[in-house]
Amino acid sequence: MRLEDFRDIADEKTERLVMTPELHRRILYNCQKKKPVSRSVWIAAAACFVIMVISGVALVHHMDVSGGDGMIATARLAQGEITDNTTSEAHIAVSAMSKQPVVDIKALPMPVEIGEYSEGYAPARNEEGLWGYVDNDGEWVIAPQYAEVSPVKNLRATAICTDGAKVTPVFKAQE
Amino acid sequence: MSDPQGNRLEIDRLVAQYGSLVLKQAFFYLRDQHKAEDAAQEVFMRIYRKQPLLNDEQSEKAYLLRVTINVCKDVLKSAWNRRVSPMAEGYDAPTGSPGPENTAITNEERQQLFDFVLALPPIYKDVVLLFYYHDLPTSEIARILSIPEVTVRTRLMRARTRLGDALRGKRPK
Repeated sequence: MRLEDFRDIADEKTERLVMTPELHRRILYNCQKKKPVSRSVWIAAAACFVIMVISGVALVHHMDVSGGDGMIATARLAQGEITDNTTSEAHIAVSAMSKQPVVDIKALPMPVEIGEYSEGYAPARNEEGLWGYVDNDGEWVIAPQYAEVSPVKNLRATAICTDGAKVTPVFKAQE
Repeated sequence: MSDPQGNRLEIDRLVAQYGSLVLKQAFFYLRDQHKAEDAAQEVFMRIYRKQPLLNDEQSEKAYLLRVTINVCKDVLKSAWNRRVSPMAEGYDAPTGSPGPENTAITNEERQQLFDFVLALPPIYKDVVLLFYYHDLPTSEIARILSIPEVTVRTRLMRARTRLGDALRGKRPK
């Protein structure tokens, strides 16, 4: 008896041990069912999420009432964001992703103090001590939300947010 | 290959072509039909996930055998299997009827030889199965097992010696 005899014997012993259609189907099914999501897909998904979180903090919307030049105001959203107001000359829009509720500028109480006018706009303060801007009619054009604001010069101003961030509101020329 | 449809067809073909081979090879290690089926499942899942590029049939067969051997060794390493001694377990093999012309070797001897090979230590069993059952050249066996070819030949020789000793009733060293 030699090892060369093993093959025939083994074949005989395992004659019925063959791949059946049922086992074949089961193997295929399990292969496809248990296929894991590839690592690169997970990494891409995580990266997308991070990008969304970072970029979702501020979204700038440009509204041009006269239908002319597009002046884009850069602003960082702080407390008391304002809505787009079609009667206002200058806007800083609210991001849809903002956590703060959107403020209806028309419903805001009258300013407690109005500063010096320049170029048709004046800094104005509300009861809480936050600053915004009003137009010639004393109506809010930028809702009070800043700790400090500068007068409008060359249709631009500097505003300091309550968290210290600096923004540059841009204004439309008054006729 | 990153095409899922292609993967499915490829696995389908591999299962059809090599499924029985994998089952038998797994059975030689695990000595249980259900365990062999589970092992076959694991073999094809690993191949499905890894998607190896195989050039020809020879490479395919060699690759499948390598994966099967590795899967079986993983199974045998698990604690559940360690309790079973190699000689103690009976065989659950579905057996066909013995050929009537096997007069040179008795049925008892045939069983003995079968038992002997399946009870070999893994280093000898690997080479014996690949050489005597799968009829592979020693160079191919060396590649599958990632050992030098000379080691393959040495182990085959030692396996033959062990068989001779077993037939003479000698205990293996």
